[in-house]
Amino acid sequence: MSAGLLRSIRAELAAMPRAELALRLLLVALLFQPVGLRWLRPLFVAVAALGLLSPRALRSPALWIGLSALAIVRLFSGWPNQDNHAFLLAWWLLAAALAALAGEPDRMLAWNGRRLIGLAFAFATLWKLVLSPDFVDGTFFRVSLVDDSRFEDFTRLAAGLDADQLDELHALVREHQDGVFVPRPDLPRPPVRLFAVADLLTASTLAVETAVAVAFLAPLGTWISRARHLLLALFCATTYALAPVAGFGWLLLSMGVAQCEPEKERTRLVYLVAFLVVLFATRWPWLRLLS
Amino acid sequence: MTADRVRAWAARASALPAWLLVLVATAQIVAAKTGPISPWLGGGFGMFATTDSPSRRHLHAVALREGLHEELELPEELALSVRKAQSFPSQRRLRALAREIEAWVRETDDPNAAPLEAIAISVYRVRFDRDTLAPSGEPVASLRVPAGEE
Repeated sequence: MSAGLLRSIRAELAAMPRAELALRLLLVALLFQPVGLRWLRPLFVAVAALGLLSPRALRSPALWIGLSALAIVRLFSGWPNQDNHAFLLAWWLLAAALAALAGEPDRMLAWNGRRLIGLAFAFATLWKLVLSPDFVDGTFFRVSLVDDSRFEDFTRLAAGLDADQLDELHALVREHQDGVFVPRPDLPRPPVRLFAVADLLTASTLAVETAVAVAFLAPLGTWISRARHLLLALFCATTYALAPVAGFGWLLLSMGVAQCEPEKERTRLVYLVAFLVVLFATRWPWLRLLS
Repeated sequence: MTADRVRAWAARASALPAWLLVLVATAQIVAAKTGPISPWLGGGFGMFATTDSPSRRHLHAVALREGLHEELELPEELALSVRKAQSFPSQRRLRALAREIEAWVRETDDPNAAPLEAIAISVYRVRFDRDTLAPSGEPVASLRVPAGEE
């Protein structure tokens, strides 16, 4: 790619209205990772592709009302098995539809993006800090690191476990139990380093999620509010590089970039880089190569 | 409605997404703390916050016949209903699943088997010991549905 082409892409991204940039990122995310049950996916992809191909469709309320309707159908058709990001996507698409209808996309999406990120992280922090004793005491990560296959490469690398040790611990936590576990002498002993890594993850997750919630809910102009973009990009780039849930990461980045006016060129660039980091980290097994 | 009125209405409703988030998340917290729904689901942002995820829950289905308790191995065609029952084992959902199981049992039953009296379903979550990671099962919800009940 020539330097001239890169410069022109950069200039176009810098000049793009913030709502348009945010919504384009969201549509790209929907194309990379189609959502919903099998019959809903082609509909999401078709509408997202239309929005990316046609600037007129991108600004049309009909497109965003259509996508909001699909997101709400997705919630009902998959009930009760929908993850948090299915709900957050529905709220964000509804914000896009209202912003398009009101004819004030920049202002309304910036306002909603800030509130939705702040509230989502505030509820996530409430669960982790207050409502789930097994998170705050470290049990969640101690178990998840050996049980959740998405963490497997990270666990082997960070906790120094080999495949056999990991398999033994995985078999232990997956042992079928209808009642109280009866200990026996041949149980595998989790290594101290595994617990240290888990406890570090517990503390750092709590710290960064609390910071993001406070930064996005704090009044604009305060120092913590000014740090919100950096905190969110850092959260997405680090969290989704380890836990490959790209769709959630991209959704948060779309909400974040909706608050970046054209003059905040560097901040926009940070978001775009974070978007690419999530893309490559969730599609390229870099941790497996390292471990 | 004129275009101006639609615009004005949409501008007034601009905070609706944020209010919906708060409303749904609060309802989910109440539901998860007082009922059997997994904290991971339902829009309350409890994912990755507790070990009680739907995939760590398990379900037992038992066919009760005269003097017999027969643990059932459920077929793939019931997998989605089972997954939903593990995620949110409300009495209504368990009753619906019991009816589906009864229909499947009757379809595949041995003609010489003792008459089916009821289907019993139990859903368990798993708690882990913090130091040994040893798992212990804990019932979340259960239901016994007499055979042939409408």
